[in-house]
Amino acid sequence: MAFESGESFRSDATVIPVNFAAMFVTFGFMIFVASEYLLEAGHLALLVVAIAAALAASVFYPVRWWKLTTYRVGETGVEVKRETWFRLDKIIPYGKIASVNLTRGLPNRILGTSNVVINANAGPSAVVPEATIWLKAADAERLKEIINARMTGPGKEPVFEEAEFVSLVNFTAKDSVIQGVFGQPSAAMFGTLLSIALALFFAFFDREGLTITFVILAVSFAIPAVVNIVKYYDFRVRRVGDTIHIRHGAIWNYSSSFETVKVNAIRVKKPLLARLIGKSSIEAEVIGVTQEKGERPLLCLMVKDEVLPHVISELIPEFSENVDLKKQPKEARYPLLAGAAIRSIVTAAILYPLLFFAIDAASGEFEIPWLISDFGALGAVALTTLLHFFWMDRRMRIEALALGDETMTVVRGVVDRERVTMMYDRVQIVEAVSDPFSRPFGLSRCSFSLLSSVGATNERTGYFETDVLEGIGDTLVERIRSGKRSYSYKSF
Amino acid sequence: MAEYKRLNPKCQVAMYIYNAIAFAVLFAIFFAVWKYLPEAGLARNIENYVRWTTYAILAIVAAYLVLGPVIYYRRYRYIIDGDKVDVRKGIIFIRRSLTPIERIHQVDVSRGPILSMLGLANVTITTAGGVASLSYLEIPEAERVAEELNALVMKILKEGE
Repeated sequence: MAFESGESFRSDATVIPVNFAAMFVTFGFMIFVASEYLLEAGHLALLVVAIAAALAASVFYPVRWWKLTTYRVGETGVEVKRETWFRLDKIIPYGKIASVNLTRGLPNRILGTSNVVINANAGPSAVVPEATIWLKAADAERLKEIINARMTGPGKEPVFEEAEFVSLVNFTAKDSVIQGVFGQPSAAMFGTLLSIALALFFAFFDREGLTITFVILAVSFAIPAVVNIVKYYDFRVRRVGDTIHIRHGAIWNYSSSFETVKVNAIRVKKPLLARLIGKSSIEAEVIGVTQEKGERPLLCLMVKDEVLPHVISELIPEFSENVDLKKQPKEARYPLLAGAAIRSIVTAAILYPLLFFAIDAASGEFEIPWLISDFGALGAVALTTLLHFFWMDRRMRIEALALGDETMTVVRGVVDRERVTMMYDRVQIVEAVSDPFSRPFGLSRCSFSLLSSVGATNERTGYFETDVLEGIGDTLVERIRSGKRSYSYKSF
Repeated sequence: MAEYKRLNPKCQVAMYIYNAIAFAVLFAIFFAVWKYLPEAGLARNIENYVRWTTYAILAIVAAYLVLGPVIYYRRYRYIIDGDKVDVRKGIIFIRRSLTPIERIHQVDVSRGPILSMLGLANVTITTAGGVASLSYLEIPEAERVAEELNALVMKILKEGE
């Protein structure tokens, strides 16, 4: 087999018609847009030439690209060589590969193929794949396991997955539906509800408002929910040794394997709707594993809160350290109050005159109830001020921090609750920030920069003692100095 | 034990030049607003509100731009030992950032025309998860810092092999 013997190989030839179709559609759209102008200007010949050129390019380039692009599973890394006009000659070292994933879209399903997607560790490569190889499904599975084995270390034999992928947790179609509907951010839900309320309000005056309501509901809530249901259908996850395997999807299949050492943090997510049914899901910050733009991989669909600790300890015990979550000290109330007061003043300074002048202008043309004309602007300002202080109060009660021996945990989120547990040894920069309202009480907030699935991320704490937060940086350095760290420089 | 270092007082001059440019841009925008406000056809009370709001904003920004460099200079401290880069800085928000040297991927020294004129430079420290910086260092100090950091990173890399 070319993979094991180190010979060069190409993508499967079925990629040619797929690329042809993609190019043809792109060129076709461009020509369609330009055709109106060309025909109006009487350039029929030019239009014919453009169509012929697009057709020729759509046939010629995919064949040439396929023929002149070769791959090799080398001694030190995966080699990619392209000898088209846009030449490429690169080696992706095994030590720099973060993950190898398999994806299957509709064309793959029709043609019996899969995409082997290779992601590197850092920078833009964490989001944009270093290489995507189109192969027959069985070959893709084999190549993925060979690269996975070489990533783990020299001489490691590939373990080919058995046909039956036994998941740690049995998820049903109902769980996919719950994930799709209840896993959506509350901002989208509130936006939808607000839009529906407005559309229904206008529906009293105009029947078209009802149609708009359904369009809003479909675009902002129903479609994303259905997409997620299809995406997370048949979700399976398991851990074999130090490797986590994930597989899911109804039409678009996704399969990923990554070593647990590549997981920088886990994120237990509880959007508002999920909190109402007592369920949470787990996301992972794994370098180089993104499913879609800006989306982190799910380690576990929504499960009951009481089951969650068990899932974490079975699936990724590295992040199941027993820690005591510490709420913010009572003095944190003062900087939070100051923040709410400043936000209220700024909101009032913008909102009050806007509403006051708008109501004033409208009252000249329409008959406005005296309650709105006299107290509308004042009422809106009072409401937003109340909201700011309510938000502050919730933050005071919710935000928490726990510093364990190996991990630290941050809890936050007034509406959509998040509990982020991260390894000390994955944190890149620690920054403690104090403001004029927190300094007199010896309090600061802290942000941790770390590598994430989407490139890099910043995790922020609430207000805690400055000494404690600054001590985190010292702990980090002390772990490096003493050699206690589990972080390997070479892996990044 | 290494001690915290401070910036050269010249950094204040650089900050005042940057602030003057920022203020000029803001003033130009507000000046345009004041000039065209009467032609916008707004009610008299709205026009007054906009005018006084921009005056207030300009006054607050001006005070910040005048006092900022002095406070920034007085607060700025940095230290580089064998393990970490530790920077304390800030005007309203005081930040202490700590970057373990083991996490550093790249160190750059950069300077624009204003910094060059004053013999100053910035050092940008890139890690896999974010960027830290040392601002307004004298050029020889910036180059020394960059060399020292690069040497420490190389040493760690060699130890890891």
